[in-house]
Amino acid sequence: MNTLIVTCPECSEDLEIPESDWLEFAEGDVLVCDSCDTELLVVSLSPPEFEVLGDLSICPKCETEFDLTDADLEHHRATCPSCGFAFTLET
Amino acid sequence: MARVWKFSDSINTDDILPGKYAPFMVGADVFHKYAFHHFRPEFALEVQPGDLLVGGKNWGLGSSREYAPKALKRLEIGGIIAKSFARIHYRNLLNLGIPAFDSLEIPDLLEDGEIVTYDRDAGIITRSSGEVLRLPPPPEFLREALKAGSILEYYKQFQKFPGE
Ligand SMILES: [Zn+2]
Ligand SMILES: [Zn+2]
Repeated sequence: MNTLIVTCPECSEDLEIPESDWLEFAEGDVLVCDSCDTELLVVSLSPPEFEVLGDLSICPKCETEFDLTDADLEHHRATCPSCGFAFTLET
Repeated sequence: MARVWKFSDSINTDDILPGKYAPFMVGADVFHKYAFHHFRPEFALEVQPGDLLVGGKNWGLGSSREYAPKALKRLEIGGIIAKSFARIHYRNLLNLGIPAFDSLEIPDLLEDGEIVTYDRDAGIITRSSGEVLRLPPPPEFLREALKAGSILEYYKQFQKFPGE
């Protein structure tokens, strides 16, 4: 079976994604680096392209992109400025 | 009829499906039978398709292992109502077509083991007392996708993502 290798742009770790898993990904999904926990947003499926999320979050409910504040990052939670959905950030 | 399974705050993905029962550990055909195995060993044996899970704050924290929501999908969970969700887990649930509702009030009202009538499409829970609880409407893109079964099914059917 084919394995997709994604090199984490933050820590250079190679993430191996089995093809069967990759086929279940959709644009807008987030991949988390096993080694440094950096979040990689899937922006394109073919060819596979990623964007480092960093301090940017995407509301999981309405898909609005917004900047996380230092307080959000410290408390691991955020509220979408557009729809008001409050959610927890993975640590 | 749907049974309410009530859980506490901060249920993490490892509570939902302990890592040692991951599909590659126990087999892709049986891993879902270990859902909540440490927490409530009776859960996977007794849960019925369409049942409701109720949680507190921070449902789905922890490593964003996809097989936790997949186990719930396999068990045909009707929906999850929690006070708040972890971002990636919430997204995984929606992608699999499992309705996830955020409500601060409803989780406190419902009791563990309670039998309710649950109308997923209308977003209405009716308790045996006749009391009607209205769930917050799911996002528009999810409503479209649920009609197709899941976001993945929607994509297969229409070659685009809902909302695109
Ligand atoms: Zn990394
Ligand atoms: Zn939003």
